[in-house]
Amino acid sequence: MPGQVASFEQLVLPHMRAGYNLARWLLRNDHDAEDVMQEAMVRAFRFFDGFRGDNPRAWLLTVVRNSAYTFLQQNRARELGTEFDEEVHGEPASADRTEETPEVLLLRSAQQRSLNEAVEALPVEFREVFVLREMEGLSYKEIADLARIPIGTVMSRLSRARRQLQAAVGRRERGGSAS
Amino acid sequence: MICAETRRLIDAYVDNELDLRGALEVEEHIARCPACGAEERALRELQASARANLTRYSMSPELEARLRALLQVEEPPAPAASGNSSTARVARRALRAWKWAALAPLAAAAAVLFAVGPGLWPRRSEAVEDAVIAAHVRSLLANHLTDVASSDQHTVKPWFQGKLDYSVSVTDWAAEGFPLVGGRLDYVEDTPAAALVYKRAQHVINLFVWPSKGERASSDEPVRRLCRRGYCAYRWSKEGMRYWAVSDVNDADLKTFVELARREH
Repeated sequence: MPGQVASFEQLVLPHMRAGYNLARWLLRNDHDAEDVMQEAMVRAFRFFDGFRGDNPRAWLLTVVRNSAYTFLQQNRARELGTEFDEEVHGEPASADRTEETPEVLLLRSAQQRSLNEAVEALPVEFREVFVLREMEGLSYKEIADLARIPIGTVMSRLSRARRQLQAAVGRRERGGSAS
Repeated sequence: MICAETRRLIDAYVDNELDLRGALEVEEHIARCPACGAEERALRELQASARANLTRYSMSPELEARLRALLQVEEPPAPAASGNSSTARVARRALRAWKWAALAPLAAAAAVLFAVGPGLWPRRSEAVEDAVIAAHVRSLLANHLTDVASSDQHTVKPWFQGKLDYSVSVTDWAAEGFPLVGGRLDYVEDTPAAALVYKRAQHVINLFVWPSKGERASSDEPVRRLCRRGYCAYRWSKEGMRYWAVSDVNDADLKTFVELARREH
């Protein structure tokens, strides 16, 4: 048991922040992300016995992802299993942001903001693939294992997410320059 | 390679997920096709922009502290030999709390954690809680409320004999407004459990009874109330048996029922 706790601490805790980032992107607000993160860490600790792999980061991200999906199923089932739909995915779910100093705000270009918003507007199944690939640098295989989908689906979701983002960012840029 | 095929593979190409041959073919096509070349540049720009610009959300210091506190609570005492020190006693107590969800006040951190929401408090009994409530819900949904439908306690009690290796006392509380409607064999914690079924107006109350296992067998536990998914449950243990009363009836009625049951069990 002491060995187990030590290794949980050594192997899993360092990835807690990556886990939170994923939860926050999947749930789109701090409050729900905090709840899910806490639930996920409890689950991770409880199921750590069953961890046999060599990639604790992907493992923790999987636990967080599953907790987030459970939360969405129970509270916002509407967001799951959807296709792109401008009506539903046109606006981010919440406006709360992490703290932004004036300097940070100045530095953040319109493009930055619009990319964040465009990613938030993606359906969750597409958003997760994009975030895992671009922010966590996971391979297609790792994403496939994590989300329990075939690699072909990872490829097609990632590709559609990117096309959607290009279109959304381009639209905003055109809209911005016209005014 | 033609454009359509290149477009199909171009994401995997910029992600370095193609095998060498595929990558060479895409590269060759891109070099001589301006449209696909532009697509490749656009993808790389998006990739660079995402990496540079997407907000990396960080936990609030409060959450991080809470999660770390949670792990300290879970931390078992270091060597078993140091059983006499008060630190080890505290740690053992914390570990027991982790295991058995003692709601007794622990460290302040644990109190804070609990205040956040009972659903988040780590405990072994959460699984039992889920199992018991699931068994209750199943009994309502699957048209399988009772295996033996009878308001006669002298019919229900013997029915369990031979199906369970322990005896269950059965009382009808029709006079108190909780008529017995029957009994059912259920499974909780991988153990066959007796489910005694009562009604209160249109509401069903399941009283689950099974023998305590392991550490808990020796000690009686007082009544505790838990609510999940709109169902409330009271649990206690007495003389080596565990009891869970689950229903969606109003809390006052369920409490009355539990008091009746406690007198008997």
